[in-house]
Amino acid sequence: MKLEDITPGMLLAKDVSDPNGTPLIRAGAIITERHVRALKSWGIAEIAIQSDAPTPSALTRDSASVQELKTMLDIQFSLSNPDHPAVRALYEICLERALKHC
Amino acid sequence: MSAAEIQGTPILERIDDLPSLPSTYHHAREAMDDPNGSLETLAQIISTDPAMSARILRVANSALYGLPTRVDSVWRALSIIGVAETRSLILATAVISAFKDLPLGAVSMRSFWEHSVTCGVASRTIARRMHLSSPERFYLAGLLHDIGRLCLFILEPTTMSSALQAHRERQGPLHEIERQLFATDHAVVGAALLRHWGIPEPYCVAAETHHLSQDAEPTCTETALTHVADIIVNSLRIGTSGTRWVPLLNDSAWRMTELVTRDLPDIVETTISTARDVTSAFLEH
Repeated sequence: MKLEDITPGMLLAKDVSDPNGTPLIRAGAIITERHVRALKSWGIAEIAIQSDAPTPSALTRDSASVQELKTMLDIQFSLSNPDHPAVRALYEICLERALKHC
Repeated sequence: MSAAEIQGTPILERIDDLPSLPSTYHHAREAMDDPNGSLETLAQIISTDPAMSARILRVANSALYGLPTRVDSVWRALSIIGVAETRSLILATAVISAFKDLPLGAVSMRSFWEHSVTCGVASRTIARRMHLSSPERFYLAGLLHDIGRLCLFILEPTTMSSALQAHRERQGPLHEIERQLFATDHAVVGAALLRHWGIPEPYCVAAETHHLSQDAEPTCTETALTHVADIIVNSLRIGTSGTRWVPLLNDSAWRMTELVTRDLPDIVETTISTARDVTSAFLEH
């Protein structure tokens, strides 16, 4: 998938490596905004993403707390319009921030 | 029957019961409107008010302006940030100081201003990305957008507690619950207070219309940016003006910001890092 279409929260399908083959980001990583900036600065234009769907990725890490956070966010966004791409992006940003702090 | 009717006097006729802006603000404004006025005169006026001088220096030295070196005189601060920014800085300082020491009950004053300042910073961040002229207009519009909530908390504390309770139980967006209880809402009340204070019209309009329904068209950029900034800040839950759940995003307002979803992480990051510093500059001693 092209870098400009990548949004934080997506799941990396294959390792991203530098020209010498040293892995920079491992497959399975959840893409963060920092990754996207780093990829840009490395001149990488395209990466493999596992699925376009909102990531079930982090579930494997600590499924109970992720599920709990999602339930809280679902309630927080329940009076909004989560089908709007911008609202969905904000939801993902909030989830990512919450995961960083837990 | 609405609570306001029970009390006898509609909220909008009780605007006079609310705090007025400090006299330094009015003197400063006259000096700024005077075509022969100078920055020296303005700095002198502000210097007669030690609390405002100290506040202006703190904010001028905060991340909001990102000055290369610390300034320690009001005159230097004003000459560096310029007349347009000075105008908005004096107004922001005056409004916050007018309300700072009042008890609110349900929502803390700090939390309220944290929400408002962050909303202003988000709005300004978007304006900068759009390369709009004088982005401080958008900071001010964001800062003032929820001021009507303060009026409601102060004038109708008991009814507002019930409104917050109903909102917590997700009976609806807070501004709709306000309409049921008061036959008006914080947006209308806020705009009335700003007009009463003689604040320029675009800020009154932004406060009045920042809750855009799905099919509404924003009438000005201030409204559109304030609306989007409010959604961002309510998502991030930085401070609160009482709203607990993220409001509806109006798509026309979103399109007016010219943002795409992948811009949001940067906007969020800049907003959070700037707002923290600006909030303490405005609120702490």
